Amino acid sequence: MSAAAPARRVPTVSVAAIAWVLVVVLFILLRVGVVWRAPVGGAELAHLAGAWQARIGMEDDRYVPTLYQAVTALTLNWTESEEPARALALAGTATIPLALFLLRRKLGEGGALLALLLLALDPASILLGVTATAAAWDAAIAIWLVVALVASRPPPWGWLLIAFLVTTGGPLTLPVVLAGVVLGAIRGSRPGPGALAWGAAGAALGLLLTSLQFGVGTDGLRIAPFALFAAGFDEPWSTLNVAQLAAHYELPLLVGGAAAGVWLVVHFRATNRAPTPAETLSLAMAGLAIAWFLVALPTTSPFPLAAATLSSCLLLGPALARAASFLMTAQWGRHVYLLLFALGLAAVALFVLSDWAREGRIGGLDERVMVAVPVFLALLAVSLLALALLSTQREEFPIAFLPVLAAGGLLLLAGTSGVSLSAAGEPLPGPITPASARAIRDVAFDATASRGPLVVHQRYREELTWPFRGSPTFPLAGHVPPEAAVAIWPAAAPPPEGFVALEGRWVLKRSIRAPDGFLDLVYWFAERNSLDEDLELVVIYVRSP
Amino acid sequence: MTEALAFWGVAIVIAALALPLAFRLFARFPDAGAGLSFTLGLTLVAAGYFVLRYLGALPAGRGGFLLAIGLFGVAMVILAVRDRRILATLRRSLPGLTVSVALFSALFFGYAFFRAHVPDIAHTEQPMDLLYLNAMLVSPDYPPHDPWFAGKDASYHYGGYLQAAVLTGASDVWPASGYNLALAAFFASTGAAAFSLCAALARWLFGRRAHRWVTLAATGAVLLLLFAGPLASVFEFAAAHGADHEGVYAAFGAEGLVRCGAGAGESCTGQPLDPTNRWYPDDHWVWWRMSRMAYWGPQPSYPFTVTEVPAFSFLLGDLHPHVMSIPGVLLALAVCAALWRGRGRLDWHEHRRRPWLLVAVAVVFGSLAFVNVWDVIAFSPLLALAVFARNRRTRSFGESIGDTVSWLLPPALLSIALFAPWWSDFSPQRGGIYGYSGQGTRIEHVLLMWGVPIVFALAGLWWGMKSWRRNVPGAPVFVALVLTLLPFLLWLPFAAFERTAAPFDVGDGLLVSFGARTAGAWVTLVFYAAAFWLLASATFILGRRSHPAAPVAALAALGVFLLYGTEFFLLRDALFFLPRLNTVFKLSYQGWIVLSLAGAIGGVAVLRAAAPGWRPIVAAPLAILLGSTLVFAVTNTPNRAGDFAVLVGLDGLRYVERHDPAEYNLVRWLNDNVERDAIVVESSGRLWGRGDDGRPVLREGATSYNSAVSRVGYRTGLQTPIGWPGHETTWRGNAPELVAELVQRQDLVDRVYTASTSREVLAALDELGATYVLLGNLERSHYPADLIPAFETFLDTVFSQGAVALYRVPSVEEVVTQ
Repeated sequence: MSAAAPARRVPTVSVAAIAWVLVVVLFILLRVGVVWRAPVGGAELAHLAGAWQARIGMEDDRYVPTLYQAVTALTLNWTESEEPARALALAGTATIPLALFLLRRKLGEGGALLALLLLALDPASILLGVTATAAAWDAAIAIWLVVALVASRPPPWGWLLIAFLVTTGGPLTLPVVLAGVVLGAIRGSRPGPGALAWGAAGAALGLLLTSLQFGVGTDGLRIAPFALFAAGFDEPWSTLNVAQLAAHYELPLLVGGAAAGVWLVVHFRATNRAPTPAETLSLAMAGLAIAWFLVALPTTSPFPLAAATLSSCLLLGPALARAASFLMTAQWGRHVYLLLFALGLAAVALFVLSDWAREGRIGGLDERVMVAVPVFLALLAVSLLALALLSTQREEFPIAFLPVLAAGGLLLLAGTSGVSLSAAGEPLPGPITPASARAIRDVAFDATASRGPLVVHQRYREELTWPFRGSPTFPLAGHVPPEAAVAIWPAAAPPPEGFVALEGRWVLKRSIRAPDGFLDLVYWFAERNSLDEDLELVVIYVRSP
Repeated sequence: MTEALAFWGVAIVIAALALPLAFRLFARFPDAGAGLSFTLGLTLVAAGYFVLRYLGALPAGRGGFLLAIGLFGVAMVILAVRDRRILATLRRSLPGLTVSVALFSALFFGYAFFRAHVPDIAHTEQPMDLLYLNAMLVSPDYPPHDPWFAGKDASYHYGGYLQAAVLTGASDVWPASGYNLALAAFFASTGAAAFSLCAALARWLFGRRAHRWVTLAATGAVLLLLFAGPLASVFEFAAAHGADHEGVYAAFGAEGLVRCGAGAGESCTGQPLDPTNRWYPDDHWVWWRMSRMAYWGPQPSYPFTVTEVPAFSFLLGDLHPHVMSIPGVLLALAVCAALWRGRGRLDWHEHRRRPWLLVAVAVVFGSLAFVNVWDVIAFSPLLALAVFARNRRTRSFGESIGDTVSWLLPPALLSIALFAPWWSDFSPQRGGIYGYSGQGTRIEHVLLMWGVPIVFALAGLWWGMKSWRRNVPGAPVFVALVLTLLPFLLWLPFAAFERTAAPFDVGDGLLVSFGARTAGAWVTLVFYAAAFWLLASATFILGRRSHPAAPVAALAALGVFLLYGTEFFLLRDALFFLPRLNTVFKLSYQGWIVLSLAGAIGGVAVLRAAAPGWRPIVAAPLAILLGSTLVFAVTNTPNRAGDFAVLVGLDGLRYVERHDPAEYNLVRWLNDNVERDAIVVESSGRLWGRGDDGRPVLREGATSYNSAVSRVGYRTGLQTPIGWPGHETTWRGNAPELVAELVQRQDLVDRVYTASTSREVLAALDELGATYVLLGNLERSHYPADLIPAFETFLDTVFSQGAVALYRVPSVEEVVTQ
């Protein structure tokens, strides 16, 4: 009789671990493609141009510089492509999941996971975390700063690195820093003398390096986060303004974040519970970021939007986790039929609406009835459900929000897929420099080889730095000098005397317009390539023989 | 409306952020300083912005303003969370806070509504005001540049313009609208601050339960400060309705306000005007006569003094330093009152315990000079006096002096350090103190101008004296007497040694100076001396007893002293050809501010002291006097606002758009497209013609006070080689080198428009460092058409619309890309 073999321990993997892996993979996958597929545009175009100027030793206002932009300038020493810089941006952004993993004790396992999922899907975060804007590492620095403030106790020397990264970072870290100051004041905690000394040294080093522009030159004190924050109010870093970007890409996250914040505050008052440091920090961050977002609504910088969505994700993740736990234990009963009924009605209305959107006109009376009645009935069903839950099963009230969550999720996914998979057709990274801009440069310089010197209209000073990188020296002017034989001139301007145009449709810059009206917007959600373009057309002139 | 809301919103946010500091500074005020928080916040944000911009830590543009507000907010949050009593203070001050916000909002939107009927920035020195506002907004570096003198930093007390720029820049409002909204903000913060300060002084005086009396006094202060004017308005109003008896008017010194009809001969003592057709005097700018008392008597060839009051300033709508400084003055007075009222000794140790107080005092009093340099001279001594009086309660005389000096020194040094970059550029014309040897001010005019607040203040004194007249200590009365005689005694050597000045050449010497002064002016001196002696005595006596009436008496004494002083002395400045114009103007203005506060409390004190049955009898003359002073605002506001017939909007350059749309579009274009450090050439303001030999001949020199010229500088804040030359010498001193440079710049600008070859034009532009040349209707009218070069043939045309064209010096810029 043989002794019973000891039971073999079967390795187990928790559901949470699988979820973490899946979300991290999603986070990375949604970003990897952007590295080589997204066109260079918007803030990235300006900041790559600045980095290029720094790489060749020219002073330029577009070189802020943040640490990341200085590193970008370094990468341009061995390649003219933006891809290595983007890969470095992705490398920095890819640390966000780890930071959120460390925050799981503060935000809750589900909260941290859902916050990461939302960040993974956030269009602004995807684009700014991977493209080579000066603030590419900002989101990662901001999240790690949150970790340092609430989830870990960094050693005193750690504050050297933190202060250095903040002072050489972009503006997305500002709400976290300011919220951290508020948190410290509320908790009455002051950094020890060691941490203070290391932090001061890090900040001083950071300010020294940014003021010296990482070796390119010096023009007085320069505080990179402040400079980028302020420039965002003046620079045309996006085709759409912040309000339009928010409406087209980030409405679910912003509304959800705001609702989560309000709910949290109400919850504190109702339960008389003091907020945890993480909650205080998230609320303060969100307050500051929303304030920045609101005052920046008419501007054309994507950074306030990214700051607002970043803090929204940190608030919304835990709130959704809490709502999900309610839903897990809810008695679905007949609610599910009512919800399905409402969703079915909404789908009917949506089909008709999308038909109108495709045709660009509102249909006849019968069609209007087909939209109005289902919408009304769906709203009625959801309202009745909400009222019924409020009066009888208050804890299951979140069920009524499911249709809203579903709609928000769909809208968010539309933006996510657009930016992640087909950024060239999206308004978000606009205005972009198309491939033809580089072709203009090649054709023009080919022509100079046989005909003589080139001149470019001075209007294009900003736009051409990046597509014309690595070219021979050429002049910019408001008129064609007599010695010029080739000219790149606005298509709308009268042709220079004695010149003939080379055949071709030369686009130097392309931007995609915002959807024009509600139907256009609906159509755009269904058909992402439906928006009109604005093209900056130029003509390549050569002196007639 | 959107612009007004955004502007108001920024003002409210800044005030809300300042509350934690206001709560600490003004903890003993009934509203815990809520009414002062608008000014406190703006003062601190503007000063912080200035220092950080100068250091290069803040970038230009809207973002820089928002960052300054954000950093201030963080500092205030830290202060708030360390204040254990903040929630209790907030709860206690909630009614006061609500009243302050309501009062601020009502005054802000009310004034904005008024300005929306007369928004034009088109007369007096308004272009200069817009110039500085724009300079604060667009200067690429700090200290800000002077748009009318390219390449040089501004040399003016521009702190108020910076405060206006903080609100304009942060709210992203078009600067020409920001100008009008800034006026509204200063108007409203003056009202809120006056209410807060006066409520505090009245509460200390009348006690905790006297809510009605406190509210009445605070409301009275707002009315006297913001809406009251000279009693001469009553005479103007009566004359406009035909009730102007020449004899009666002459008896009151108002014979100049008699209306003699349109065809009046030279024998008429008044105006060749007909009665009004409306219920208010409807003549063009009739209210202007109220700001120069010389107009009230026999019509002068030129009024030699300006006797403005805040109500006039806000009616006129010049965004001048002395107007923008009113809320700051009230804030400084409130700080003095709060320090005096506080407990415990104030010496340098106190700054270690309360460093925020050190910073606040340094910025508030430093900003007094930064906004309007005259104020720091008049009101800083009050700070020393308040601190000394507080220390004196517990320390000996000598110890109090020592403690006071040791407490004052750190904020004084910090203040100098903070504003050093501004001080180093500030170099106006100044020539020291002179004795006044003119005719002096008639007693009738003194009473018509300042009579009501002085009488109110003296009435309050009478009430205060009831409690101590039987036991009057001799020493304070004697010291007050010495102080009363001091100006006269000091004036004697000035007159004897012939360091005197007067509008007319009356001769020099003691006897001549004595003889020049009229009998009425001697009565004025006696009146002022008596009033000051009484008020100063009261201040010292009450101060020794820490009586809550002491600060009120001190304010009244200071007000009378400022008026009294102008009868003996003047400061020599750029307007020395009208010797005491600015001295009377600035000091009497300050006098009005403090007298209106003290007067409001004094008037209510008398009323309160009267037995209930007697109150209607006491109230009637007070109400008549107060009502008479309000005639100024009531009758002149509709006049100024064109009977409120047309709501134009808040854009101060709307008139440009109406008359010359191309010029207006050019301003917009320049704002959007031109580099902030660019220099734009426009007409020098001189008028040229063609001589017999065909060469250009100068027909007329450039003048100031013309809104049509030097327009690029003031409408955009961009640099131009030369603006109003007279103002440059006022701001920088009229050294021969400066005058030579001004003329050289004018010559170069004129050469641009009259040169015969493109080479000459380009050489002149190069010498001016200019990149752009403007050719508009103004240039076409100042230079003969056939002399103006064909700029389009050798310069790049960057803007062209109608008769307006902007040219850019062609540049060929080498682009290196590898």
